[in-house]
Amino acid sequence: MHAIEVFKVSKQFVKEGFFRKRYFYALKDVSFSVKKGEIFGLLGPNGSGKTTLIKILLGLMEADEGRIRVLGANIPKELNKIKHKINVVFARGGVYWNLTLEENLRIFGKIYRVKNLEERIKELLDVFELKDRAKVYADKCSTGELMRLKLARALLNEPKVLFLDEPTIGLDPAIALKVREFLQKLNRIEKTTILLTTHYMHEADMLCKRVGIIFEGRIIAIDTPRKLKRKLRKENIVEMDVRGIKSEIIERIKLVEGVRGVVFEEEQEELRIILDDLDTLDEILRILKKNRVKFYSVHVEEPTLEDVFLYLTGRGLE
Amino acid sequence: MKFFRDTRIIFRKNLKQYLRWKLHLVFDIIFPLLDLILFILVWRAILSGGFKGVGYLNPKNYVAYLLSGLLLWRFVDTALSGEVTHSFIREKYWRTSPYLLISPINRLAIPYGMCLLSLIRAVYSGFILLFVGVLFFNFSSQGNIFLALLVIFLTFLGFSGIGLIIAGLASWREDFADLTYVVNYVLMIASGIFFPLEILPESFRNGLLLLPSSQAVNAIRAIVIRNAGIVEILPTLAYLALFSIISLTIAALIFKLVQRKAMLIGI
Repeated sequence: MHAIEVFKVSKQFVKEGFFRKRYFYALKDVSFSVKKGEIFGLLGPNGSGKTTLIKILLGLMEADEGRIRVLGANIPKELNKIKHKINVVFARGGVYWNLTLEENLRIFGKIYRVKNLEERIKELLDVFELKDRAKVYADKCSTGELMRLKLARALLNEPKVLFLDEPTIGLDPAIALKVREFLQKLNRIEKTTILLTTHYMHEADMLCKRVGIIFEGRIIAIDTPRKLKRKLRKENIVEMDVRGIKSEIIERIKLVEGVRGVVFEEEQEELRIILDDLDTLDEILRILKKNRVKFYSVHVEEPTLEDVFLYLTGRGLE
Repeated sequence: MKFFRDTRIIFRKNLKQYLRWKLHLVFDIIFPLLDLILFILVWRAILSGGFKGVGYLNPKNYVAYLLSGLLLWRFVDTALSGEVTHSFIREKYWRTSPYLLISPINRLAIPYGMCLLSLIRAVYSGFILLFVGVLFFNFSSQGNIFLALLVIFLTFLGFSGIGLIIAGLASWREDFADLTYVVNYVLMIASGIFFPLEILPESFRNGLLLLPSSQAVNAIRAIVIRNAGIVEILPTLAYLALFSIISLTIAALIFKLVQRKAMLIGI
C-alpha cells in the first residue's frame, strides 16, 4: 500500500526576460511512490525542484501535468480529506516571531483540534528539549531551537505522512544528529511515512530506506542507498590530497576521457574523482605533474551517495 | 461553527501578536485623541470669532460634531489600514501562510479573524475617545445608541471589504499595501470628518456626499446631534448595506484570484 503516489508530474515556470518570456521545467515527468511507513528521501542540489515538488504534494501549488495521490486522496482536489493526517516542515521561516514557542504550538494545536493539547505541547517540548524555552519569544531563539519547534509543531496532530523540506539545514551537527535519531524513532514506533528532501547525502544515507535523486527537475535514479552505491565499484573513486591546484586544471581533468565527475573540497584541499576505469588515473597524474600541483596522497575510496550523484550528473551537490 | 471557531483562533493569535508590544495600545489612541483635541481647539477659535457655523456644525454642538465624526472614522481607519494588510504581509514574509493553508482551517476564517481584531481595536480607541469627550468636553447625546452602533457596524463591514481587497492585492504585490495610505487619506479629507462638506463648492460637495464614509458620517451626526430615528436613517443604512455586499464580494473574488495565482507560481 502506498502513502504517496506521484505519476508523471511536470511543472513549468516562466522567467520574464527583457524581450521575451522564457519557459523552463521545474519538474519534468516526475514519478515515484512511497510505501506506508517508509522514509523516502529526495536528494538533489538547490534549485533541483525538491521544494516545488513538496508544495505540489501539499496542494500549495498546482502541477501542469500528472497525477498525485496522498493517502489515497487526489491532490489538490481532495486535499481537505487528508489535511488532518499530514504535516510539513519547510526549511525557511514558518514561525510567528512575536509569539512564544508555546503559543506557536498552541495555535496550530487548536486548529488541528488536538486532544489534551496542553499535555501534548508539554510532551513535545520535552522531546525536543525546548521545555525551558517554552515561554521565550521565537525572535529570541536560535536557528536550532526554531527548527526543533517546527518539528514539534509538525507532530502535534500525529501525522500519518510527514513532509520534511531540508529538516536539518542550518543546525549544528549535534542537534542535526538528534533530529535524525528522533525521525528514525518516530518512523519506527509510530510508523509515520516520511518524505524528506535534503542535499546532505549522509542524512539520506542514515535515514532513508529508498532515495530518489532529483536533478534539474527530473528523477534520475531511485533505489535503496546501498543499491545506488553498488552502481559504483570501489575502484571508481579516487581521493587525493593536493596543494596549489587551480580551477582551470580541475576543468582540464574533467575533460579527460573516462572521468565521470570531479569535486574539489577547497578547505580540506581534497580532490575527489569518479572514474570509469582506474587506468585513467595515469593521465590525471600526468596533468597534475605537468602543472606542478603537489599531491601528498592518492587512495581509492568507498563510494558514498555523493559519489553516486557525481557519477550520475557529473557535478557535486553544493 | 467551524468558521467561528477558526475565526476565534486567528483573532486570538493576532491579539497576542498585537499585545506583545504594549505601546500599540498607546499609539492606537494617541492620534485620535490628538485629532479630537486639536480640532476642538481650532473650531472653538473659529466659532468664537464670529463664524456662525454650517450644517451640523455650530457653536453649541461642535464637540458632538467632531466626536461623532472621529468615532466613526476610527472604524473606517482600522478597517482600512489597521490589521489585515499588515497581517497578510507578515504571514507572507514569515512564511507562515503555507502552514495555515495546509492545516484543516476554514480559509475564510483567516481574513475574518484579522478583521475581528481591527474591530476590537476600533472599539477600544472609540471608547477612549468617548470617555475623554464626556469627561473633559461635556459631551452628551440623546441619540439612539443602537442605531448609531448599526451605522458604525455597517460602515466597518463595508470598509473591511475595501481593506480586504487591498490586503489581497498586497499579499500578491507588497506595494499595493501603500494603497491603504492613499485611500485612508483621501477618505479622511473627503468625508467631512473634521470640517463640514458644505463649505466646499456645490458640484464638488455633491460628488463627495456619494462616498459611503460621507453618508455614514452624516447619519451618525444626525443620530447624535438631532436624535434622528430609523426612518430618516434607513436610506443610508440601505446604502451602507449595499456597499458592504459589493466590497466584500469583490474582496472574495480578489482572494480567489490571488489564491489561483499562488497555486500557479507558488506561495
